Amino acid sequence: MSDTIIAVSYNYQNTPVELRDKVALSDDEAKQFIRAAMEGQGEIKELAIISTCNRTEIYAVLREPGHFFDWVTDQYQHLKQVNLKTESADPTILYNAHAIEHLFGVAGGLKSMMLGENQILSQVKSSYELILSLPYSFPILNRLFQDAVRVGKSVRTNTHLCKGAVSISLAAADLTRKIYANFSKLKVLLVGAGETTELTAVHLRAIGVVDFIIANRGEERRKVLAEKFNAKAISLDEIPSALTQVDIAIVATKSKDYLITHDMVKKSLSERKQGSFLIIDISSPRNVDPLVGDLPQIYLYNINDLDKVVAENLEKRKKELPVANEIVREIAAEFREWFKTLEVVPTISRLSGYFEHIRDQELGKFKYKTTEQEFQKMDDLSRKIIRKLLHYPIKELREQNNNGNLTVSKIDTLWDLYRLKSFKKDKE
Amino acid sequence: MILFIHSVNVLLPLIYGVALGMYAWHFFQNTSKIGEYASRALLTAIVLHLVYLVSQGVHFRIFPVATIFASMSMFALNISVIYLIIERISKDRKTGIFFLIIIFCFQLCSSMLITFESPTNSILSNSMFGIHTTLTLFGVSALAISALYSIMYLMLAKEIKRHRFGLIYDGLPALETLENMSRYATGAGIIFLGAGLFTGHLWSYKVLGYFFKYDVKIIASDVAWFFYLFGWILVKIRHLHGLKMSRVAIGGFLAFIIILFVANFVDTTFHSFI
Repeated sequence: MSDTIIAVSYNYQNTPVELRDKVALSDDEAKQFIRAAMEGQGEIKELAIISTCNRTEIYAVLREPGHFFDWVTDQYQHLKQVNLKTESADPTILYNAHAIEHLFGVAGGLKSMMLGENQILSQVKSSYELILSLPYSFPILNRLFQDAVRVGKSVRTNTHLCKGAVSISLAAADLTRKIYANFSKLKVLLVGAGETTELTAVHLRAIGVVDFIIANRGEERRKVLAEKFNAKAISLDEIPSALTQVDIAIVATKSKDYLITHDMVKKSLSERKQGSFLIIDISSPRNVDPLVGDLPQIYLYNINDLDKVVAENLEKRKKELPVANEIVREIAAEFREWFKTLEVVPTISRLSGYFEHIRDQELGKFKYKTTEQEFQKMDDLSRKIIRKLLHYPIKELREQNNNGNLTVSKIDTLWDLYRLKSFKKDKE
Repeated sequence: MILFIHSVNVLLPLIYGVALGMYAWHFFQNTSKIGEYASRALLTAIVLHLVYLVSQGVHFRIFPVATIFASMSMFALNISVIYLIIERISKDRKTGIFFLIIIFCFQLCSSMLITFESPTNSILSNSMFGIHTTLTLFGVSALAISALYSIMYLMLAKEIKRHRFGLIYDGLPALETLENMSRYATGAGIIFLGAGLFTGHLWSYKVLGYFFKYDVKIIASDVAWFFYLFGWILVKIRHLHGLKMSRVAIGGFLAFIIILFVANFVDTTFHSFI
């Protein structure tokens, strides 16, 4: 029988976060898992692990499927002292085609909590690099992970599944990208020192913004955040003068009044040397006078606008799912085609066994009807006939496999012609 | 040869039209494969266009911009080349549709109205004429490109202001990029056009003995160039950005084109003295 690909998946859909934390594996722990599998005498031929905050998945190639989950449970107990039996863990276990499509879906961002998430592809790549760094051979998982990365890239290139911001802070960063090109020259005013402001600043820093001014009522928090972003800290009274210097203003406070008024911005426009001015008001109630948006060169967005952007982007991503699924299916079919061709060795051995079985059966009928010498001659003759009969089919199978011409349908035909599947059952 | 020139003259707007269709498809459907085909179609058109102009030059022994319609064809080629270079550098094909509309219209107009005749004036065979017209047309092309980028800027700015995230928002590069491209193109346009007009005056001096010959097109071009230069200095001094700069670029180009059309209406020859 051919090898089996299996996937054991603990993910955000089937495992609570507490257990996900317990089953998560660091690179070193993953290496220990893989070593245990590769150096053991069990049924595991190859093993790879993807471990992120939202999922820990173990992919393996097995000689015979059977007790793999027990092995996984034992390893967790042995290496991490986690008893999965008492944790009532209920991972998803997938085999062959389902396991392949699952991994491809993961790499494509189709299975992510935030549909179309980008980071997962680099995490799949890291898992692949980890098995490459180990001194074992992973012929099947090597190809499987290569194809998974291919799916990830193709989904990102040929669909919009991973495009458009799907959180408020990312939407703010996206808007920045649509207005400005040289991020390192931008100056950003952060009004408020809360979590949302900080997260937005993190995203802006990720795209290359370095110059921040932080305005906050509370001095202590203002200084903490200013230190974190290497920024200048100012009081709320200094906002009007800051408006003349900055390109972007992110406002997120709990104030019930407008902190940035129409007159304040209008006045700053005459003194500004910069061009476009992006103002993002994430406060509720609003802290920026909505009339500011009517001024020329001002692009004002409030939390409702950004929520709308996020909702629209999520909707757009969902619409891309059929195309992304098609990419997954196409590459999975290619992989399965390749995987099936690996069955040439079992096919040859099964075919030889089949012919040998018939020879034994027919020869057995004459065992007690002929002399020993005659029987020996018949045995030699039948052996030579079978060898000659099988010579060209086996040679052709090997050559076609080496040339990449051996298709699944050809192998299937061969198995059907000689009923090779039922042949083994009969023998058993 | 003349049959070849006539055939290519018909073929060129067709290929530019096909490229325009594909760029439009790419813009609206965001099919990257179609974008690649569009780029190849444009490259094919450019190569054919070059062959077409060289053939004209060889056959008629003239730099092929002696008439307004021949100039339009050269203008279409210049924009095509400049756009293709920008596309290859920026790896962005979404703005192609905007350029191809202009290119297609100019080439179609040229192909429909051009007449192929041997030169009657030896001045048109002078190499200085070639330099003058090439520089001038490059200048005008750059100014047209600047105006196109400014139009894109205004379109995108309007979309962002109105919180609309449709095709324009997805398809166009950042406002600052569009502004910079427009700024560079204007700078290049003023330099090339200035150099073109200057060589024209130099050529006039060499051939006719006058540095400044009274001719409605020369006056119109010189005045337009000075206005452009004034606008450029104004933008620099007053730190005009974004919307204002885009409006100046578009207004400047429109005024320039109108002046040239009026001048061409007054005097239908290349120049009054040719």
